[in-house]
Amino acid sequence: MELSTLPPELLIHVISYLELPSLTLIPLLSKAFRRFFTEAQNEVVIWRNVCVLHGLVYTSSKDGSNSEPPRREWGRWRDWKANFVAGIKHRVEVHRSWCGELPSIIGKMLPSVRNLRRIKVDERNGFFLTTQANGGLIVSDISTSHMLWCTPRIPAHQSAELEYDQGYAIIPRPDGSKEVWRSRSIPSTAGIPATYTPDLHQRVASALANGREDDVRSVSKKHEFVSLPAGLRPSGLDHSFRSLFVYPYLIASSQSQVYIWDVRTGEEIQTVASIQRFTVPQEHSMGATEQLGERWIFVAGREGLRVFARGAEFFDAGGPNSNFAAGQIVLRIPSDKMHYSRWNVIWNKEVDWMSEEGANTLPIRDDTLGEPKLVRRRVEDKFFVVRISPDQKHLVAMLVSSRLLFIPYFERVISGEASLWDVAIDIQLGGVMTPTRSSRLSVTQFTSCIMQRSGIFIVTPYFTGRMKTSTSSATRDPTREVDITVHRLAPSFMDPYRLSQVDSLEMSDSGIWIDWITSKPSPPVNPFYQGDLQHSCRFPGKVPDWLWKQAFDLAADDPESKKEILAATIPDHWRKSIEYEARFRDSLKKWRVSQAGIPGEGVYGMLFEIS
Amino acid sequence: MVLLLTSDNEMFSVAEDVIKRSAYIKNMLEDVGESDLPIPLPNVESNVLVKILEYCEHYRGEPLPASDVDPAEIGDRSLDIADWDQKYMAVDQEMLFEIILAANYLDIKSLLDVGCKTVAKMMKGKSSEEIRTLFNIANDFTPEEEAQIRKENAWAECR
Repeated sequence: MELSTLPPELLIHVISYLELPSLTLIPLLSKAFRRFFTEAQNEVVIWRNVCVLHGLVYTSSKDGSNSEPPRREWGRWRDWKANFVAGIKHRVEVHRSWCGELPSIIGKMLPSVRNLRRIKVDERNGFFLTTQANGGLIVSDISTSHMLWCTPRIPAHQSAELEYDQGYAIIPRPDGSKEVWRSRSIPSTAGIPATYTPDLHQRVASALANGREDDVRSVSKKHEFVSLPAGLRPSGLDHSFRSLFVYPYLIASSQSQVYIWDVRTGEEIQTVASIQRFTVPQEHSMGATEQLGERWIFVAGREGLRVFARGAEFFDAGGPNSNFAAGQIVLRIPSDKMHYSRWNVIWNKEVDWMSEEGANTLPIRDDTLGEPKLVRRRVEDKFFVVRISPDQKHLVAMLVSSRLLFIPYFERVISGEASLWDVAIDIQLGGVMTPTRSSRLSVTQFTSCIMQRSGIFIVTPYFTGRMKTSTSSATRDPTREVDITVHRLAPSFMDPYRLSQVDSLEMSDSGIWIDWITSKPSPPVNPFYQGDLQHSCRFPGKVPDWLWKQAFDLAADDPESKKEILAATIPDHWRKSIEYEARFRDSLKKWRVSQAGIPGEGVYGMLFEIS
Repeated sequence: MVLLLTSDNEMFSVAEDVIKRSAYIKNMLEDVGESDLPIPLPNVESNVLVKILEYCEHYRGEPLPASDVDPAEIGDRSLDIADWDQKYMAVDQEMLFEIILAANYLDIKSLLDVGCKTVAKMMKGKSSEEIRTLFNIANDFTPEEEAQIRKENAWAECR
């Protein structure tokens, strides 16, 4: 008995443990192995296993055909059916690019767009949407950057917010309510009440929109949008309200109520009232943000990250979370903690944007701002954005102090199966004193992208084992569940001044999209006397070091965690749980950029391509 | 006690709670009920069965995996193997593959996983030439063919 005589199904089992690139050596061994590897029925299973191994697919559905309800649809499964293996290979390549193992390219998608506010990308249909501060929504082709369709420049609300998902785009109206546009590729009968007639605003917009039937330039129906019943606006809210679109729902909150609409019909489908305030008054203008899950409502703000239940009807009866009433607060993570988790990554080098070498050589300034003051500032931390992964399993939240809290399989924290301390991963990316407005977070199924003034970071979780929903979680070793690769885009996107000017950071299936401005010169090398930047550049290097010690002291009360944290500072152990510094350094070399120096003005998309 | 008859006609008498780790035997016992007749195992030789029983004996008393687990579903993907399992698997290749085959036949999922992991671990981080030597595989490609396949897989290589 030897390897070559093992039955195919067992050989598949064996190599299902092999990561790339080890796996690709199999067809190199001999002709028999090559035949085995490329035989259609084996090939599909082998590549699907790779995707499971690298955490690239939902494992709930083995053939990946589980695309209902539409929210669960992801990536390119539908398109993959034609060529499953090629699709999976593409997925793996993109994933490896996110981890910095494969090169990527920077492409200029739109030259010189003025006043650009938001970008949304629909890779599957091949277009991206942009809004501008002076009004209007523009749909452009991904490969050619040509404009495909646009709305007239009716002065929109100043925020020029744009939400897009699954063929629905939502922009604010001048009066502060929301305007919904639906892609023509979606059957027109879907959802809209027969009695509905567009109002004047919509008729004008539709008539003026560059997408009429007789227009030669209207390329294809799927790039056009029609307006839907709109003027969505909760009765209790003020002139303009913040909202969030999670297909097919639009969510907005007042202090005591959360309103949820179904954008397909324009109907308000749920109002969740809570005795706990969703937002506190002084926070409203400062942007507490909501996020809607299938079963939960998340609110990030100064009071911490709070999770409210949407109602018992969203849970399986008898399940661990089925007894929560609508609006009940089920989890609160306060925002004043030094550490949330035993798993910590601290990236503590401030970056000199002029050169890579400068990254570690910025002078450290000893001044009057010592530790005690920082403690106080630190405690005034605040969650400012929270996102749930599209498969509804993982939660990513960001704090003002450039910290990212990643909670894999967060529902077990709510149900009490696991503690936040055990399962969450606490990642400090760059300086503590980053101004809120310059930070952005975008989350796709498999990766998160974070931008703040020291760079753009890609955080890619790697799930090493399948989560079992059984109660065996107590015995599980937390190191086995998820590894995280933190990868920074370098070196072109490291200028903190320009980074602070970025309005939109959008992560699509295989790219990161940002608006990049060159209209103002880069500030001089010495950052300490540069007004706006002074605040955030004062403590290069030193701060997280003592923060670390502080955290250690705080945690030292518990002998268990003391051991853990000590161990985590030993590089080898560190790398085992969280691949970080080494890969980050390597990635600087591995990234290939098409332009030397700082890219020019425009919208940049980063599409991963394999040379 | 359960009687097992191996392919080389050796009879084994095993405690029921030991051999129940094999889903195959467990199901058979449930279907057939109490019987004095030996269960024939035409695919398993006695020296392999001894080894299998050593495994079952060691994990005697540990809870059996849930029966509704899809056998095609592969659970834990990490290559971590428990210390005892590593020692247990420190056998020659011939025996290692026999154990895997027998574990598959007897449907002992945990043992099958450990066996396959052990083989995968042997391959991990090695070059194709090292793997060929390790598993005694003859390279029947011409250099041109090999270069061609390498080219096809170049996208997966680390750069």
